[in-house]
Amino acid sequence: MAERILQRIASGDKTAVQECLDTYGGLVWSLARRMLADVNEAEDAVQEIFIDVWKTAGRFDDSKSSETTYVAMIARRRLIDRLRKTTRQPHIDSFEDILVEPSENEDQTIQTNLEAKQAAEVMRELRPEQQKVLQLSIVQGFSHQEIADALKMPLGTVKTHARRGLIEVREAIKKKDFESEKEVSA
Amino acid sequence: MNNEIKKERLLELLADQAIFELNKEELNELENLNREFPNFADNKSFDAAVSAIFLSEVKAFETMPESLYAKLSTQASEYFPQEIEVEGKLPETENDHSSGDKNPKPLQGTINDVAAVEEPRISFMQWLGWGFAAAACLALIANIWFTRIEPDKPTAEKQPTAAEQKQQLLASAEDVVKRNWTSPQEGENLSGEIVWSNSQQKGFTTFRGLPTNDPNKETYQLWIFDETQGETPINGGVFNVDKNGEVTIPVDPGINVKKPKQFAVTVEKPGGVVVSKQEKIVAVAKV
Repeated sequence: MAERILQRIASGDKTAVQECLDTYGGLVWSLARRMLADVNEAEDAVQEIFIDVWKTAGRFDDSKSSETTYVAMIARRRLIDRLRKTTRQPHIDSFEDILVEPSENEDQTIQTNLEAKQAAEVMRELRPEQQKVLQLSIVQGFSHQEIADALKMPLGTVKTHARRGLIEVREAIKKKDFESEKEVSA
Repeated sequence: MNNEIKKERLLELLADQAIFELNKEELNELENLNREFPNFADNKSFDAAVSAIFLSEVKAFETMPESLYAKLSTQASEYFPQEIEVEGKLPETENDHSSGDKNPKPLQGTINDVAAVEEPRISFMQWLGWGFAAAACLALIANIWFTRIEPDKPTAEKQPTAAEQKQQLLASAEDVVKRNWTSPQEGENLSGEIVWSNSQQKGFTTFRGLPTNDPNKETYQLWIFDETQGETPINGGVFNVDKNGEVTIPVDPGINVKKPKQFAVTVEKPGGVVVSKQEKIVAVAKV
């Protein structure tokens, strides 16, 4: 079962390390390619991400998230660190360009796991400003100050949009988890 | 501040922490509120929500390059320290960590610790095992020598060039499209073509007449405009043009291309950019 890979790594199972690579290699590579334009840099980032995933496998808690979500969380942090360290200098004019409206057609998005599907559903329901702020911060890795400057929005408003949007996504995921648990137990 | 307002603030800080970063003051505030309401909310559920949003943006999965996979596989095999390899092979001694344990934990300590344990008698089967191991090492050394070190000997299977792969794609893919490059500037002597297969999600392109670039100052970057992606083009990879003036490269989009409507090449800073301002477009090919 894929859900146990990280726990097996944490307990010293060597085969699980390779299994982790086989299971999440495509995901991590796709995330890295999405965020980093340079292929060599994406390759370096993927190596860093996997070493980080293996090292922190013991911190994975399957009652809080799926394994896929945990791997994506590590990947995001590493990729954003890289973006901030390297060349990207956000430019005000470029922000509107990079915004891709959340997909209208669900088929257009490969939903990697249930949580991602729920997140996409909730994102579509959010107000456009909330969508924008969440996309710029979470997907593109911009800081709240950068977003405030670019969208000409007060810093407090940026934070409010981000918080409210995220809280809604979190609640939706928790609610669905609760409903799934009820279905399983029924 | 009443409890409801405090809880509201706790949620705000947890959300801020998951998305952005907290300053020292906010971290202290969060710590105090967490102490006051220890079971109200946890940061992991916020991290999970952030990750879920991040994941929901992945349009398609790509297979990682074979060379990277091989590198990571080696790292994976070397991830646990070497002494774990000897798990279960140590003789039963007073220090035997695994005796009586059906699921022994990996042995802790160093290689020296392992060596310090009294040596057991070595059976014929163990000698045989060591013999195989030695033979495998020799084979590995020979393999590395012949495939990576010995410079003059050509490798048995030569990788096809990008130009050869382009021809293969043209011959094999039924849905392949081929379009000629044109320059948006009048009078530029640009030619070449791009071939793209949607079913195979790959393509190749040839340019003739693009000016030589200094890779330390700028690079060319290929973009794919997909009808389903609005006006935001997909990165197709970066490349340089040397004094030969002709280059053929693979088209390497980071994400799934559904309906390409146009290809374009821009000049960008070294390494390329995530989002192009499209200030300097040097080639265009409409589908």
